Amino acid sequence: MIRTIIVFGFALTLLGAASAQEAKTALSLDEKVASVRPSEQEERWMQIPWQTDLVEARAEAQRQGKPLFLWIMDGHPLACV
Amino acid sequence: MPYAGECQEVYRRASPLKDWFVPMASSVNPRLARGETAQGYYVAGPDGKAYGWYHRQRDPLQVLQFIDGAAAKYRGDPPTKTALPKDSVRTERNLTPAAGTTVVRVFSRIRPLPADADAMSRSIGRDHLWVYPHEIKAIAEASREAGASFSMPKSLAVRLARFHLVSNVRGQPTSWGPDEVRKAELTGKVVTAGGSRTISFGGDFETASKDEVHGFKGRVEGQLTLDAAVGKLTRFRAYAEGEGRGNHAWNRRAGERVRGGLGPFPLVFAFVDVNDNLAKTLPPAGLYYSTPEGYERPRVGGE
Repeated sequence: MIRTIIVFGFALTLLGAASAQEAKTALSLDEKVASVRPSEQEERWMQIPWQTDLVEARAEAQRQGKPLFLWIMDGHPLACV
Repeated sequence: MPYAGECQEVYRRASPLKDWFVPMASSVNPRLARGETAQGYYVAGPDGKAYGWYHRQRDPLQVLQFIDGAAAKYRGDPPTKTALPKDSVRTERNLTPAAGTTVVRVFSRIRPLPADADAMSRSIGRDHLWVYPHEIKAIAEASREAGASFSMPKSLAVRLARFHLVSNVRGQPTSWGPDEVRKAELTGKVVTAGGSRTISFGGDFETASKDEVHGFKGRVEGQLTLDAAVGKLTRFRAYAEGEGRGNHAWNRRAGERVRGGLGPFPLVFAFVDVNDNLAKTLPPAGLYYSTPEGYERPRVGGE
């Protein structure tokens, strides 16, 4: 699941951002806002159930017997870059 | 178990998270061991055993190869069960919005996008804007009469200028300094009054570095709905477009390499109120790099 979403989500995010360029004239506020918001394809990587609390993530990984996959950035990867 | 986090949380500030993260990360990330950066992907056990680090983040196939390799190491040398802290330390910092705060998700893009723009320039900037209860209260008090025009809270306008009208499409930016704000004005107009009020707003914004190399000039337009009885915003939509030039900090280095060099380049922004889990747990980027007071009541000019 995660593997599939990473492959397609990242690729589409990088390649698809330029789509849906709309004329600037005569657009309503909502249309202008919609023209900037990410498409569903551009948001696929957000379907990964990212944990945002490392303490909880460690506990859950131990409960499930799974490794942690950490994505660490200057600027939060999910909201602040 | 996928986790996404900010360097400020796990590395740059003293905390129990740092005590766990740094030894783990330093054992596989030579850049962190040299004191450079903690950025990248890691695979680790909850006990702090590291199974790998990878930093070429824009190649998904290589990321998957990295995950496969690290997972194999994990299976060959599984972690030991360890006592884990019971309480999160995130609440030690101002990372969650106070009651009554409206969280607005901010998206930005380079538009129009040059045909030969590189992958990073095709990205989407993301952030959260907080609209504080004292600002909502001020808007409520000024919007009782239909057709009335009024100045939107200065702190909101300056916050937009300094922290949100930034070129974060290609990566993390810094904010504009107090002395770099040339114009930050938002005027509201009451479209419909009463208990549920609709207020349109707009204004011009301009920021510039002292040497004029870096800056942004543009306009914001928006509309919000206010439930005056409870003092809450029930809807917030805004759009901004303008022209950026130069770059900010980390982006500044990249500016020389992208088409157009240091610009000018067109930027568009969308602002949409949100109430999902990310809105409740991830603060504005400005709060990671400013004090709570510095973001809530940002200074401008000689203040």
